[in-house]
Amino acid sequence: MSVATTPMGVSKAYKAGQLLAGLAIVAIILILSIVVAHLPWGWAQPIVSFIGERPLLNAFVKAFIVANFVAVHVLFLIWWERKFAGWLQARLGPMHTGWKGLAQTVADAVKLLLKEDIVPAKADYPLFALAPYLAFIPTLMTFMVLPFSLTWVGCDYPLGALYALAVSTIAALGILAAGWGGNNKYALLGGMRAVAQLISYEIPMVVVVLTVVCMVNTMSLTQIVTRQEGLWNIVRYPILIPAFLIYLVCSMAEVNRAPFDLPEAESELVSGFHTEYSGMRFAFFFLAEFANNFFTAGFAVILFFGGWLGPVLPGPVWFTLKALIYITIMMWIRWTLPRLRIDQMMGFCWKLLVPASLAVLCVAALWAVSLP
Amino acid sequence: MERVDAKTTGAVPVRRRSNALLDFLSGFQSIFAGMAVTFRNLVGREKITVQYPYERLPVSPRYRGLFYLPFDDEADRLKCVGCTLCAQACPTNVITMTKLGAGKHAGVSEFNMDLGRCMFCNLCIEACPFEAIYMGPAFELASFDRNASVFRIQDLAQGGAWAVEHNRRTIEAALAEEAARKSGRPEAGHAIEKVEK
Repeated sequence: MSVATTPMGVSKAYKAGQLLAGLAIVAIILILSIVVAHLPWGWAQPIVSFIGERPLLNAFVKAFIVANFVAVHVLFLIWWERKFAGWLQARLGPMHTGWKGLAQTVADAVKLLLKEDIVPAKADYPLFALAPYLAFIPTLMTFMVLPFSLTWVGCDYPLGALYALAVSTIAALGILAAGWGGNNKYALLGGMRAVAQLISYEIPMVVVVLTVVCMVNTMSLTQIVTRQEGLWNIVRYPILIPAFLIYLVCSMAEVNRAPFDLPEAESELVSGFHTEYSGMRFAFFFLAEFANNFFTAGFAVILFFGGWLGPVLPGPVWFTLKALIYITIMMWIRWTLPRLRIDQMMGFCWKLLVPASLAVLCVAALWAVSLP
Repeated sequence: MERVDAKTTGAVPVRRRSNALLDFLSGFQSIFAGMAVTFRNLVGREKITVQYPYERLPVSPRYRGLFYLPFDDEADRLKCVGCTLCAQACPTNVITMTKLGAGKHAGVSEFNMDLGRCMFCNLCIEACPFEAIYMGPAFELASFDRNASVFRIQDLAQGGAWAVEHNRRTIEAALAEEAARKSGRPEAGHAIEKVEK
């Protein structure tokens, strides 16, 4: 009696072919983006000006585009996170649904949409129902000032950096509401931790952003990028290298990623502030987390790595590529390091990051003053 | 930071982590060491996932999977003689069988195993004096139908229904021959044997 078995592993040629196919697909997408950018878009001008002349319609259309972009790129990011995590652990990651599992997140999203929306009997219903949107909408709002290129920006606000930081802080309220609303001790602990963490790490982050603003002398995100023409900020002002490292740590804490994933620490708090959530509302928390992830990455790219500036490829593609690389580094750190203890995390922020960021700010301020 | 030199004093070196800056730097170093480990896994290691329904690992020859009744090609019958020793050894009464014939030419006509009760303990195989029952490598025994856990002789016999049919024919022929010999013409059978020899 024998069971049909296929031999383990595949040939090197097959693997090389797969790698080549992947690279070819990426290359085709990039070339297509160049082609699309150089198509004659003159015919679209009347439509754009028609929308642009009507403020309400303009706002609606932009919000629609941003919301859809966020939803689609989150689908991709979740797939990429799972794939990359798999590769780091010598696994394959999702493989079954679609080519190399690309449709896996779509399937998961459909499943989440179809699931029952469970509300605990003793939940604080208004807060419980509101929390996912309170967590998601501020993240969506930050995308309005995020410039994908000089023209691809929802609103070129002169105080864009300040606006983005101020708005993204509101998400802490949504997380606290989620922790409280579910009437669950683990969720409450997770919510409390999240708020403590978000508020603490906001401080060095803001100081670092202030350092950059100090050096480039503007708060408009598009102008921060246009002033990096020729040389990235982080190369032009080496004082921003420690600032960037502080920003990296803070951004990981801001989006609740390991090693700072204490608000949803599985082994301690079930799943933290979204323990009681299911279906659509849970999907919104997921969406908010990954959208926030992309936002912090994009913000770092704008502040330190020249935003959309780059040769050959169109601006939005450069911006997205850089942000993706930043996110991948965040994922790499996440799947390498264990979770911190809560006192270590708070101590690290208050005893090291806050003084360090203030010192960097002082040096940067002196430098900026001494500049011609 | 105080350090006791192990070479001069022979004492165990004591590392004191009182310096926050050194602590921070060594932490940094350990982060990079960890990331190097994951990076080596990313690029330098064969992916160990087996895509199960499409790829399969080879099953160990000692694996305790689905039972089978070995077919004896020379004798053209199943090895099983229907002695019920396995059924008696079974702690959970998995095995029921119907004996075919008796004496020298005994065999089985029915052999049912309800694997819903089986715990694959190997006791039936140890009990068998004729090596007439074994466990094979098949392990996909789950089904949506409760009755599908009952395996009949054609499911268990090595060679399936063909083997069962041959088993029945061989034994019935042998029994008929035996009966013919006993019914007064023993010489004929004897003579044939002698000629053959």
